[in-house]
Amino acid sequence: MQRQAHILLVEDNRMDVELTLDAFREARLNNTVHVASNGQAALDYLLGHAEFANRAAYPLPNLILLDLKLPGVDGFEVLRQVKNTPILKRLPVVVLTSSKEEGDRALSYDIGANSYLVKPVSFEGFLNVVRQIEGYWLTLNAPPPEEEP
Amino acid sequence: MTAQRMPKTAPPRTARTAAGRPARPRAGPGAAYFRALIENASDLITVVDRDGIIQYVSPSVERVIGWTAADLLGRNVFELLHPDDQPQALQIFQSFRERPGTGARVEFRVRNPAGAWLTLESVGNNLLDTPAVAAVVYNSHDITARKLAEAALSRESAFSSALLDSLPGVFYLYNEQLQFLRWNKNFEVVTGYTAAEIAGMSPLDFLAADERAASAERIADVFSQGLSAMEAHLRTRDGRRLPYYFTGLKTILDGQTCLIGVGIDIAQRRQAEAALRESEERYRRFTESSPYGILVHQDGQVVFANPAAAAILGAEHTADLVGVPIQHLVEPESWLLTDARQQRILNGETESFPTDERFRRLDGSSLPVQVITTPFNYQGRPAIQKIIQDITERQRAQEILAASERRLSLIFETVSDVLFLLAVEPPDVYRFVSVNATFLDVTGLTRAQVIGKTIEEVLPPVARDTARVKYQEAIQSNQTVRWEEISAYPTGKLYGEVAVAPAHSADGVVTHLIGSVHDITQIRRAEQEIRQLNQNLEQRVAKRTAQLAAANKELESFSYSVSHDLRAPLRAISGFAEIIARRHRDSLNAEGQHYFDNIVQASERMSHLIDDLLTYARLGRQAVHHEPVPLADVFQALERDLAARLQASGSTLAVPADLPVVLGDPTLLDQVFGNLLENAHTYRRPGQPAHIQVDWQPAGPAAIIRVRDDGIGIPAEYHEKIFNIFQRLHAEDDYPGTGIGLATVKKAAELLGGRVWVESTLGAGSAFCVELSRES
Repeated sequence: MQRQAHILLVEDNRMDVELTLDAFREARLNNTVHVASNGQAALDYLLGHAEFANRAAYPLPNLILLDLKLPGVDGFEVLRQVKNTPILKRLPVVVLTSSKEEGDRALSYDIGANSYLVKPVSFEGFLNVVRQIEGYWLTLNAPPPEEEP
Repeated sequence: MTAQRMPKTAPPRTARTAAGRPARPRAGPGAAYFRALIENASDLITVVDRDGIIQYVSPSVERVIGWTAADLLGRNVFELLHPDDQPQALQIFQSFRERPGTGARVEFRVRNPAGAWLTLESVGNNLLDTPAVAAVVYNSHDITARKLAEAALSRESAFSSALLDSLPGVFYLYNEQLQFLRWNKNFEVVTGYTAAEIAGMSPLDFLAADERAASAERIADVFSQGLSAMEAHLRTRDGRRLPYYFTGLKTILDGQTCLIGVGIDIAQRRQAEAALRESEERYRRFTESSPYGILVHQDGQVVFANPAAAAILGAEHTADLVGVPIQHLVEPESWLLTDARQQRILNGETESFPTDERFRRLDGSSLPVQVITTPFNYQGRPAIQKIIQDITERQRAQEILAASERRLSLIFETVSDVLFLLAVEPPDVYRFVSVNATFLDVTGLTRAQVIGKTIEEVLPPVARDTARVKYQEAIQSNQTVRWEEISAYPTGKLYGEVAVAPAHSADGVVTHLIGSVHDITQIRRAEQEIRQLNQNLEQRVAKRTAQLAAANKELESFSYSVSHDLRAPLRAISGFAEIIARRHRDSLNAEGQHYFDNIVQASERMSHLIDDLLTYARLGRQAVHHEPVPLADVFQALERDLAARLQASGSTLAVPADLPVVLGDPTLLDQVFGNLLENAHTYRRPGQPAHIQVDWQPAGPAAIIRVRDDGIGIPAEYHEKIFNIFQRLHAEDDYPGTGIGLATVKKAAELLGGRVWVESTLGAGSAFCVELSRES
């Protein structure tokens, strides 16, 4: 049975957000995508601060899609805090970035990224990426236990 | 004389002379005549009775013995005689007293009034029975002079005999008939013959048979010419042959012509001569092989020279030197020296020492020699021996040495380092023997303040303690010891790089220390400046590094921005264009569709451009590795990546199995050969498959790897330009590309310390060559 998965998309670029959401729609994936347009918003969402205190409306996501280049608190900082926060550290984080830089890749994995994907240029490519994410991370991959042991 | 010879004795001459011839012709003489005769006779007539009492004495008594007749008449005649003569005279008297008519002769001595003894010879006649006389009559005359002569003769004869007998040689006297008349005792002893035998032999019998003829001639020479001598062998009774030297002198003896002479044993002389000859022969042989020239000169002329002397003096044979005046062989400048030396030798000085003189060769050229002059006995006579050595070479060596010493001394004095020589006086005293000008300059001392002084008196206290330890070390290790010292001399601070070397005597004892101090004040100052400069440089480098780091960071963030920000709008253009093309295609006409396709295509190209540009920009910002990389691995990976495209175009790639291992960075190598293979495939002739061939060749420590294709080729004027960034030769639509690939290849090859170039002809393919370091 396919469960209702929540995805937190951390992306500041409006067009990228639209392309991503469009790709999810086009791929007919039955997931809820929450969007945080900057690093601080992402952290607030994840930690249930301010408006995100209502976990029913803003549940902890099953997957975080994280852009690295963000205004203010950048993607690395978000990743670092997620991995350093006990209730968040098991959340799978997939870095979704334009950067092919070796340094970015290395740092991402160093501070705990579970995957690193380069944003394709074509829409076709986007479609492929979201399908693969859905198939692998939300279907194939066994998620971490929800409660602390 | 003896009584037996009395009858021979002639009548007393005195009587005959005194009487004379007139006595005999007179006839009939009377008593007065006889009385007168007696009284005038020179002989002394004494008449004694049978008891010996003097009855008469002739007047000549006074003349003969000095007494008067009156003094003697009536006295016993025997009492007047010398006591020694009395018994004999008395006995004779008594013997004929009883026999009248007989007589006897007697000799005796009487004393004259002066007390001297006179010898008288008396003939006594017994006339006792003669009535007219009846007495014994003595007729006496003085024979004192004759007796003295006889005694002298006797002594002479005894002396001669003794002399002859005492001769070392043999003495002989023989007459012309070769009959021996006299010989000495030695003659008998030497020959072994008795006197009787000799008396019956000829002188020739005593000569060796083979020499007799020659000897007879020599003897004949004596008798004809008066004098001769010969060497011959004396033959002895037992057959020995003794070498003798015989002399002969003609002499007339008792009316006979005789040969008188002596023979001397010359065996010893012969032996001595043989020994001398042998000694001379030995000397000759010894000197023959001597490396030193040996000259013997006598009376101012060379009498002997050995081969070495001949060689030194330029004579072909040693004989050429014999007879040459020694003065001709000595240069005038050395005459005084030579003469003085010779005089001292001739005056008995035996000590010999070498002197340096100049000699002159027979050809007149001059040469320096060392001469040892010694006294010498040459053939029995004093001579002078000179042992000479050609010292031309030695003098030259000495001159060179002297010149070398002058030069060394000049260096010693002019060298800019401090130099000094110390005498070591065990156990621990070091005294300055010699110092150079620099020493005096640096210390500000005068020579008088240093020479002969100990280090305590010269060196500052700090320097001296270290010095003493180091000196000991140099002496004990027998090696040069170095150290640095900072000594405050009056002229300022001196950083000294000191070196002290031991100098030892022939028996290995260190007698001196040779020291030098190199003034390193300047060096130290320079070093300090360099340190300062280095420090400044480090600061500058740090600053520049920081600047560079900042620039790098800026560049990085630029790249980062490019990566993200440039791609984002591109993605939006491409993404939304695609969405429109997919979902709203039907609402567009053909032209609209075509333009949307263009937008998508341009976006893709733009994406490649960004990727290549970022790759190019990244080159060199990361550390470049230089590790052994097997090119085979690199090509294998590239071949795999390219396989699908090669297959699609029907192209081939041939890679040799023996590709070398190069020193490099795998990522950079990947970029170099990846781009080249990509290009080789891309720029193939239109509608033709590409045939790509890789080969390589060693070039010293490097390897040249070639990627060759049979593609469209490159015009010569572009062979260099094509490596510039964004340089493209073809339309994008004909040959897709960003114009960054070859720039990346060039940059990567240069970062690896290599280079890249192209060999190509338009239309005939290209060969891209990469030179890289091989693993050694």
